Amino acid sequence: MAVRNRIGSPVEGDDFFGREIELATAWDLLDAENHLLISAPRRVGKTSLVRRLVKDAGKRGWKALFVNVEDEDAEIGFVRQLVEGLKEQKNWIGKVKDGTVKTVTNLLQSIELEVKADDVGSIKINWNQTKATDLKVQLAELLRQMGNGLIVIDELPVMLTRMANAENGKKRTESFLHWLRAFRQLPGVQVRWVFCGSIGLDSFTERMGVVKTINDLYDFPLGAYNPDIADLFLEELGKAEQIRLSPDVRQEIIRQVGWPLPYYLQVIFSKLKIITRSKGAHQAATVADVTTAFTQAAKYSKLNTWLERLDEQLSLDEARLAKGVLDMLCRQEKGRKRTHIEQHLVASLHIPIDAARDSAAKLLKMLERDGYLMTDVGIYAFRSPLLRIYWFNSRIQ
Amino acid sequence: MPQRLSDDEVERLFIMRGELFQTIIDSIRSEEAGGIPQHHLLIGQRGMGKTTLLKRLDVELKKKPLQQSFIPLSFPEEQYNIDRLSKFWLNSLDAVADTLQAEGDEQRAFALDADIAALATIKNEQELSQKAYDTLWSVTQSLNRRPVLLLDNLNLIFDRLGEMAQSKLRKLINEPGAPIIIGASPETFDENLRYDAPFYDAFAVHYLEKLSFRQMLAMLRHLSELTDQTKLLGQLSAENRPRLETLHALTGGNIRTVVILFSLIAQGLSSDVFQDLEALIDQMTPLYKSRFEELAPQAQVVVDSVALNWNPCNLETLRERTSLENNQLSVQLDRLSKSGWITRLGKRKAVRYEINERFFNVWYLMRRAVRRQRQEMVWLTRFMQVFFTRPELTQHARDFMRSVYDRENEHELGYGLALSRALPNQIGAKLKARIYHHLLRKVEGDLTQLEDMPGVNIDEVDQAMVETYKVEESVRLIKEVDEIYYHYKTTEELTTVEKLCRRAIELNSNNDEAWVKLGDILNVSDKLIEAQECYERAIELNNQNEWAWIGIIFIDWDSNPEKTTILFEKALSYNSKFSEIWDLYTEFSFEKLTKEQQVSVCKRAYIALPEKTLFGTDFADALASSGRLEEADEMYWNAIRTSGFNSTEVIRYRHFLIEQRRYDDVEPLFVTATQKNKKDSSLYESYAHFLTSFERYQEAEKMYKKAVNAGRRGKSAWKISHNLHYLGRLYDHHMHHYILAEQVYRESIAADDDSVSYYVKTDLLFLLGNRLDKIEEAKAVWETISDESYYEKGKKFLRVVLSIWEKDKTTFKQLIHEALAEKGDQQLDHMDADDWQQTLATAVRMGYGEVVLATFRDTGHHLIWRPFYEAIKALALNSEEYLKTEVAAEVRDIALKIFTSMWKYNNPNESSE
Repeated sequence: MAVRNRIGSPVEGDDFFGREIELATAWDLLDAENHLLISAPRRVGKTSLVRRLVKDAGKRGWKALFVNVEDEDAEIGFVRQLVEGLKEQKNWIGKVKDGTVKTVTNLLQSIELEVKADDVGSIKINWNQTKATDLKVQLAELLRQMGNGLIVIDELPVMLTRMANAENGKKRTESFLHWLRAFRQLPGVQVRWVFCGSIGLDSFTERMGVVKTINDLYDFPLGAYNPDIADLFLEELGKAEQIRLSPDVRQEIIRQVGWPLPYYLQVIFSKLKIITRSKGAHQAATVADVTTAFTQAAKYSKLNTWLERLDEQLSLDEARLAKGVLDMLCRQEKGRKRTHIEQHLVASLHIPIDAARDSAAKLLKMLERDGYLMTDVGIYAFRSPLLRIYWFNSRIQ
Repeated sequence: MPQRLSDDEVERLFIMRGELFQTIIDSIRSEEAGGIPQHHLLIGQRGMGKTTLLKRLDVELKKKPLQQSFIPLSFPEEQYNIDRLSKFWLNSLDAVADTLQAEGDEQRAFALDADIAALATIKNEQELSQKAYDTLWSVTQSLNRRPVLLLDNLNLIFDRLGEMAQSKLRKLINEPGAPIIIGASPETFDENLRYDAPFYDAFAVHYLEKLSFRQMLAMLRHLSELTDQTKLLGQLSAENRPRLETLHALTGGNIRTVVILFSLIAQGLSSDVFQDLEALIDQMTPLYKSRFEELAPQAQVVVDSVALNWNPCNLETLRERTSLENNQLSVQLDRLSKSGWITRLGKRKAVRYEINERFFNVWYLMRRAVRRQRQEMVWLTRFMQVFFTRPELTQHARDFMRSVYDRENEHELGYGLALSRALPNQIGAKLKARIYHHLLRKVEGDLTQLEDMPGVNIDEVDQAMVETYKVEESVRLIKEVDEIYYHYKTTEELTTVEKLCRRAIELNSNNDEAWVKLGDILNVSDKLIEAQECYERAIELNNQNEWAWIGIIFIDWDSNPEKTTILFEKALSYNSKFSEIWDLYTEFSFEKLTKEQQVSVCKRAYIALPEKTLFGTDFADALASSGRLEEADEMYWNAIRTSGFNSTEVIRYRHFLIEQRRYDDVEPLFVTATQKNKKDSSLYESYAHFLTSFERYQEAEKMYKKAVNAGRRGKSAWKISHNLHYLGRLYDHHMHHYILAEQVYRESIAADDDSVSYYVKTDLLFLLGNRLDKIEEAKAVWETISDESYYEKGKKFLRVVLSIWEKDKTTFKQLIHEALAEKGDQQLDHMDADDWQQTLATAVRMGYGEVVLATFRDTGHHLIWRPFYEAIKALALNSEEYLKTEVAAEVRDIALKIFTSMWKYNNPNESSE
């Protein structure tokens, strides 16, 4: 099988392409007993990468599990998912002392029964009550027996956000994150944790003011393909889907995409495929077709999530400022100097230049980290031309 | 609807979206067992082919070889009401059972049904959901077929699931080996676009865009071929291109609307566009209504504003009308544009938005417009703007314009108003003005009533339009008055026309004609003072109104000649060329003024209007009566020559010549005149009369015949009939050629001019009875005499002569008595006299002389009509001597004349002594 034109879903097997360096780096870090926080904007391919890590872990003789907690809203749900994940590790769970698994299962069931009995759900269940404490102890015991292991937790911030929004949420979230940190630090446990998700765990903890609960995590940024990989990826994709892409066409795609995420390349490719096929059988894509595909993709891509995400994650004022900066930058393909951005903030906020510098620093850091912007010697510009055009079309034009 | 079609039909009728179908099938085919699947989401408005595409995929997945690896699952429409995840999976299980049964695997189907029934006992949602999904998993695993969920209205399903269930579903479908989901939605679904709940991310999204013009043609061609509709196929020709382009614009390239509208649009609408359109809009309502209702509330607000604006709308206007923030508005516009609702025109600051499917916009305007817009039928105007080309609209407006006043149906006129608005140019404005004019007449200028009429926008009716209506309506009413007034017979009719006049004045008090007409009517009704005021008002408004002057002049004609003279002079001081006034003035001068004044007036008339040769003869007459004969002679000739020997002028001169006893000059006059002017039958007639009076009967006969021929050439029935009558009388009374006379009389009657035939019939009757002894034929002629009131008395009198011929003395006596009593003390007029003389001459001849004389004495007519009485007595005595010797001198001459005439009548072949 060769790489296929896949859009949106996490990819595996041959579809997972060109991340050898990132995988090797990750393994180096994991081997050195680091826990990882995969940080990247959406669409970069975090889930695909961590799924691959889990798969490769098996080949290295590690126990590994992938736990997606996006459909959970409480601590107990997290534990249940974790336990279920562990139970699926049939190769070793059978060898674990019967008592531990059984005790964990019983405690879990008992707590969950209480949750079910409680009309309002889990919010009144004290994570620090005796049964829960017992569960934590038993769980730790289980992990100790695991040996070298990899636990990937996907979409933890989704679950945490739900928790934080519930009654007494902030305290519970904080307490949970402390427990989780302590859990990672347990002596005698050789399990490495990897966290990822649509919302950055770093952004979330920053907002909650509990950054220290994740300061043991090694920040592992995931970016776009480098141009060579992108070119190779497109060549493979073209072959597999029987669309001839000349080197010029491939370069044009990469140039126009600007930040060659596999997702963007796939989207452009899917448009190019339709355009080329509609010309008739055995036609090759041209450089001009790339522009057409690009326009169509910008028109129909789901980029408004980038816009709405600011409203979701930031306060009203911060969101307004961030949008203002992006509005300004989308007009300039080459970007603008930091001083211009500061001046813009002075003008729009009516604040002294010092205060503007602080705001700019915070804002630009956030926008850069979340993949909106990139910086090069003090010049800030949109990371993705696709997003820049989308932004321009939907807000400025 | 694709749901109801058989698999074969679906495959056969699947025309568009072939490339997308292939893309999705390729994607499904390439799925690896146990891999994370690629999901697909089709987004497009209703009618863009989503359901058909899903159905087509279903059909394909049920066929080999895909059937071996996949199991397509579709939910019946009513199952979209899913509010929890367990239901979603249970529905999927039902679908598997249905498929198994359809495939003939009854055993597995029953087993699965039992499993589903068992699941129903689980109360906990989480558990049920999990178990249901596990069952689906295990069943499909055991079949070794991966489920492909084909979900129409996916937006509805997800909207109802709630946030947590959505997360669970997203997680499940991103697991390795998960079911493949091919969803369809008319809209991007907002809730799922949230950054932290990115359900959407799992899908490859395909927007079903509107058909291009070329695609639309291809589809219609294919469809016509498939359904074997050669007529429709013929309409896809190049010459029908403008119509088809209209179709494309109206439907916005929406497949379903194209199909619905095609047959109607391609054939053109019937003459009743209005009804056609209403029916069409009704037909589209369910589709459009649900399409609109499935929009998110904010999107509805935006579509509403864009649609009500009709013309491309800029952001500023939309912001004002929707009260949405810039970014909210941008997001909505962006989504609406992607889903094909609206089209973006222009760039940057100049960007404008309009509803893509123009027919939807028309529908929307009809259904949602505010009362005033509905009333104004804005939708209809808009439709016409899209449907018709500019030249067509112009032609349409011109046709309508011609028939505005023939149209009484309010809706038709409303349609015309809508049409006028579709043409924002002079023709449109003209049509609009004309329709409003007509409508104003219908409501008699009542604006409140006008406002409620279909298509009316009262703001368009300005004061000038109302004024124009009043002025024109006032004129029209006076025309109506004219038609009745000139033939009125009853006082009711007079009252009616007076009312009409007053209404005309009420509408436009400056209508001088109306004042004149009212004056005339009041004058007839003897309301002279009021009449005079009316004429004065008319003159005040328009001193050039000749009839106003004439009206006022007549009032004091008899009673105050001085005043009348002043009025004549005043009128002529305003316009020295008032020909009617001059005509009356000359008449008035002959009647009321001195000879000197006559000459003066006639001379001025002649100088003022030299082309009117009659003024020349009037002037000549005046000169003659003043004894200025030479000047008169010269003036007559002047007028005759100027008129080209017109009979009127010639005859006036003849009178003068005879008066002057210049008989010798008469004949040369006629000879010259008939040479110079051969067409005028009156010249021959007048010449013939002259010849007759000189007993030159043969020449007269010839001349009458010429007069008849001239009448024939001029195609004047009156002149033919009239001159034949004279010719008949010449034969009858002078030449005694009775057979010829009968023949000519009958010809005259046949030439058929009513105003002549009564007199001809009378002559014929006497001829038949007295000369030809054809009593029965005479009676038959009497029967044919008109019974009209005008001839009634004459006809009754003729019964007297009939009774003589029948020798019915009693009746005769009675009738003559009645006739005399009826006449009372009236004198006989010229035509009456003829009948009486001939009748009573006949009576004397038949021996009823004594009876006649006795009756005269009875009724006092021996005194009233003394000369007549004495003439009858002389005739009865057969003694002219009696008159000469025994009758008083003052009676004698007239009596002798009458006697001679009667005697001659009784003795046509003898000359009197």
